[in-house]
Amino acid sequence: MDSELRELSDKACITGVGQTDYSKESGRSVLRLGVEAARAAIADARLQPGDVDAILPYVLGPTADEMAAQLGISELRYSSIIKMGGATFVACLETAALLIHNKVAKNVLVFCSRNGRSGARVTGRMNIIPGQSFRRDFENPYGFTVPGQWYAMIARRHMIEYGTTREDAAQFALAARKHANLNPNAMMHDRPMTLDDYMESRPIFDPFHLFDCSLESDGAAAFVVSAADAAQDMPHRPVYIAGAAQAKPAVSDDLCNRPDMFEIGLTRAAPRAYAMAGMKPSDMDGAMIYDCFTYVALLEIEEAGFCERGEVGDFVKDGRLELGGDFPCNTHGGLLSEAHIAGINHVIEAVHQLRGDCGARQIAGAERLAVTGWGDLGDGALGILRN
Amino acid sequence: MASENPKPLPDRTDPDNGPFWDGTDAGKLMVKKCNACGKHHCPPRVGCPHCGSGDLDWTEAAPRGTIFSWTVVHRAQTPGFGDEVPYAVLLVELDGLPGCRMIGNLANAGLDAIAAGLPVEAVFTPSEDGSVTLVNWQPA
Repeated sequence: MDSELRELSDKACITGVGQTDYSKESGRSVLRLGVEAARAAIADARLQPGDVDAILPYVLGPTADEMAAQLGISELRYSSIIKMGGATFVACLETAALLIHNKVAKNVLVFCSRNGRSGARVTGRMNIIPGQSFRRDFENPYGFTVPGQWYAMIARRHMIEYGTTREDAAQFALAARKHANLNPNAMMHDRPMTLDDYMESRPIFDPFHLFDCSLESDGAAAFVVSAADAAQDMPHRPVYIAGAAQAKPAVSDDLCNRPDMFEIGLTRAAPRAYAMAGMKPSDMDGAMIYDCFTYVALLEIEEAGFCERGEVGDFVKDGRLELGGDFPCNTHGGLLSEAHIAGINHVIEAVHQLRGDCGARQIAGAERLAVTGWGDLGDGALGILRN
Repeated sequence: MASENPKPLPDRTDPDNGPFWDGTDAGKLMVKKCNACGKHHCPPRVGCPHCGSGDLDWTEAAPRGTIFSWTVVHRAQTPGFGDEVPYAVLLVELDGLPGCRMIGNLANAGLDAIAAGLPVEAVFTPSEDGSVTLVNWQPA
């Protein structure tokens, strides 16, 4: 099986990236934001809009049709929605590589655009979650209606089984905030945070307190995936999709009744992504971890294989996740401290790191980075990017 | 009296889930059991999540369980719950049916009572408008 997976490795590269400013109130429509980010990504790859022949949009926001019409893309050969919630954009790495390798498309545009703070906030986006009748009949009547509450059940269970603490979760939040202060586009730039700030933040959905929770943001980001051979003649150092896989957990429409609450989509995707790349977790120079909530990020660190299950509390100690540590994570600040652009911003940051243009927040000598995705009721994806 | 900001209610006319609410009206906790593999499951499905069989029946479960996990909501995100905070949402694993878990609120106890593995029993609780009987949980 591994040799079959290897077939897709390094066949496609991320050749262009673009993003807007991230804010609480963009003052623009999601269509305008999306077009801004897409134009920037296409220009970054030094392509013309007409060179794009496939679009993978997010389940919410502008459609492929709307984007193509605004961008002047006259011949769209392929578009589809990869519906994996916050795992979508890492999952799209696999889909884009498949499209390129199978010669369905030459240049694939992937984008996310949202007014997630000034427009429809999280409670307004719940009607796209799987298992609507379960949510309506057996959860919502008890005031159990949003992802933070669902994921709090997993976090609490992890605390029960493994003794994971708020101090452990703080390590992730503090690293993210420290990094955001090196990133001028981060919403939490110039907003330092101490351990005391974290510990004293007000409870939201206990065990989640305010600083365990991601931001709600307005903004857009986009990237372009092209064939590896074409990427050699493009302006930036190619960033190869060495490995990428997506997966659903068991009974993926219901988080509460899984026999093993910690076996998430990422648990199943990770071995395939490593096999495709011919690499192992210890080969990674750092990672961009989908961090809608701190404890979810901790669980992903375990399930992506960076430490054994139940040992993440020890793993995150002593500044390991910070720049200069053994395993720098979320150097942009992540969803916690840069912006919540559904995790596409994690892919963008990994590309900047592998191009070596991150300035003060550069991971020295970064050659291989992991990017994780987490969505809906535990969907997952792992991308392995290399330069 | 009808609230101006009513809590969400189940749709008891749902043909797949509806029998559950007929059970709670009678003080019974009904779960689905698969006649092919013999396993129970929650929430009620039209096909067995364990073996895929469609040969399922509703059966009565003992209205008792233990606290598997929980969250305490301090910031309400649900209509009608603004005055309830802080409130607990429990995930209860039913006795004798491992893997069968139900969401409900803590009843007749303070938040301090919550602990992993705490035995609890069902409290059949009419909704504010009396249209359906919800299931909450109190320490046994």
